[in-house]
Amino acid sequence: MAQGKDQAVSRDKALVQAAEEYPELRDRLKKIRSLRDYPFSSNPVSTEAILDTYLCLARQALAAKPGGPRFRRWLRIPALSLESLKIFLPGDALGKIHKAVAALAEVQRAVFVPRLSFDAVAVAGMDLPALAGATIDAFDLVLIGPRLPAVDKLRRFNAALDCYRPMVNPFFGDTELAVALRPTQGWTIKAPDQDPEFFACLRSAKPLDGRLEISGAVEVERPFLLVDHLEERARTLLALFRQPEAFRLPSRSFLSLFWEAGRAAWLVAQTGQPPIRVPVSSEQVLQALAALTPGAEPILSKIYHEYCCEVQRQSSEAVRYTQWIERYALRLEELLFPSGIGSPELPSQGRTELTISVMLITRNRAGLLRTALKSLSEQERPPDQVVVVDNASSDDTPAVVRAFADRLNLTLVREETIGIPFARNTALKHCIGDVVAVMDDDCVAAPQWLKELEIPFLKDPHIGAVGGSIIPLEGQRDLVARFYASRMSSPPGGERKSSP
Amino acid sequence: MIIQILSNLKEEGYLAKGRHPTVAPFFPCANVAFRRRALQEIGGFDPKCVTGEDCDISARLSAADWELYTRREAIVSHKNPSGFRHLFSKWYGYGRYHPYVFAKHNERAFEIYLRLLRPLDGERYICCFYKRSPLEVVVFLTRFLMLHVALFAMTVACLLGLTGASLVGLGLAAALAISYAWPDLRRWGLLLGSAYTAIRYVADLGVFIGAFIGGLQQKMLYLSATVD
Repeated sequence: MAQGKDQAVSRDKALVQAAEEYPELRDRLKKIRSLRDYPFSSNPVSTEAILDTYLCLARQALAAKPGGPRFRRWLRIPALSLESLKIFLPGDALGKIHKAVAALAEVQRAVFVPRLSFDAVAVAGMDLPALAGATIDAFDLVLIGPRLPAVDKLRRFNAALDCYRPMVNPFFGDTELAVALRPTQGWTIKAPDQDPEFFACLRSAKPLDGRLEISGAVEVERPFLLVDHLEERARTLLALFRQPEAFRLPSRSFLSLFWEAGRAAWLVAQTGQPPIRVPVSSEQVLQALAALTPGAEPILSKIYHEYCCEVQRQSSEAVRYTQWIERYALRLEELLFPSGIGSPELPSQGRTELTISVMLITRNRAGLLRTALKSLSEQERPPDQVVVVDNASSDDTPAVVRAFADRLNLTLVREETIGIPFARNTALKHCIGDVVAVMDDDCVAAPQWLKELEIPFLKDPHIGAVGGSIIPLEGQRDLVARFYASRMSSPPGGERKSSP
Repeated sequence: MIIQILSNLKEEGYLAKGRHPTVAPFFPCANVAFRRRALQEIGGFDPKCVTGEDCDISARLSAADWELYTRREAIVSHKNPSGFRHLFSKWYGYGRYHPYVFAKHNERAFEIYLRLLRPLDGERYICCFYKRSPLEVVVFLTRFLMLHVALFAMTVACLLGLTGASLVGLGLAAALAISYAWPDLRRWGLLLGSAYTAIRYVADLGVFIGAFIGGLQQKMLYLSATVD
């Protein structure tokens, strides 16, 4: 049995180790390995042998002595609230789960247990998709009964709960099998003494609805085999916010990662005063972080609200808070592990948007420029600044631009050196926004143009440029223009048209 | 320069980072937004890139480890050039600075690429003696170029009185001309297809002449540069 010495040991290796450690189980373990070697064989494989052996292993491990007292920490886990379940379970979901459980006559108790995995980071390493949302706001539904239900019933049950995965993950078994089955779900075989909170949560459950139960508050003493395990975990998680890959995650996973990192930071922050309070839901993490960093609560609450919308698949503005979260994570890191560099400034209260400057270069095209500026003044997300560079025009360009002064925050600059790059560099000098949107004077922007361009910048601080689609202006009759249009609308992967 | 196209950037998401701007997808400056910090970090636009500045800046941003992202829903309608004169001058302008951008971003000493089957990204060119000897040659194997090579060979053979060779050249040129026009003919029919082919020919001619002159300025022989 891998006792946590090597966190990333594969299940096969763990079985070999277990066979060395417990010679009396060697034959059974050998049988399991041979079964596992043929996962695609058509012969029906009896799971009983596997369960039986794991049960034996779990008992042996329970009997084995855990680490010394200085490696143990007292944890206090607050009661799980029904609200934290309801974040991601739609209105009728609890009823459905209840019904599915009721169909299994063999099940006596079905307990929602927070999925606390203190090894998740160590095991998952930097595999972000596996990490994100691995343990926060996720629940194990442990089904406990005298014996396993029939296979077809289990299959039906699984199908009914499929839509709630991975946030709700059911386990089956009698009381002891639940103990035994738990280790089979991860990548490593974990001894039950590594997850004492799991078993403690099972014991303290409160009735919810019928046979459904929800875990209550518990206090456990947990061995930490690496003394600085908690710190390492917090460091790893907070450092993720400096990795470009983290920002490629979907918003929901990104936020889950944030809560997870926040929890890890909170655990480290209070190691001085045992017992350590362990938040199990994002709401509890929010409260913990608010206590840790006074003043951040208003934005944290907003983020929590957006997170709930995201989880419930409602329209969410969560992406707007990415930058804030990034800086906040760095600030937490600096708070816990001071490097002397100083924590970054958090964006001011409530400011979660970027400022956008639009750059327009024009030369002797007053008529076209008027339509371009008109489209800019009709943006759903208005530009914060429009920089028009008049590249030595001789027509009435300045007058056309000035006519828009009441609708747009205009900066009109004249550049005498004719040439696009000169004009663009001059424009860049006058741009003050975080984002510089570039458009030609012979273009018309769709009303959502700036809104859509802004979103990727909010999502990922490592994005340097965002490009949009260019379509031909409607109503162009000229043959050459029609040729262009025909090439622009060609299907992807088909014909191509070059254009710088 | 072989340039990736607007209509090919239809997938939402991160752009693959290309090493060469000749094949790397890029955002045309008619519809793009930059993070100002990123632009300032790489030092703004290159004043020598009169056209192709968008290609250059995308390549430099990639090289500076910034991500490029495509957002299809950000739409801009573009007024297309009208009239052959405008078309020619526009493409001549594009071609004129292709060699500069090519020379700027292709630091490889001597490399020959010959890809007969065009991969999706449109890379198919021969690059000879580049950055090693005084004779610098970049040849893009476009149909436009091959058609003219065949025509040239036919003329030479005809002048030398080699009837057989000139007939072969004629056949080759005809085949290449049909293959040049074929995509348009197949899609748009005989009338509109041949009109579009003529337009494409003018654009190609503009790029070819522009790139040739631009190439001489960069001290290289730079032949033809659109994807056909």
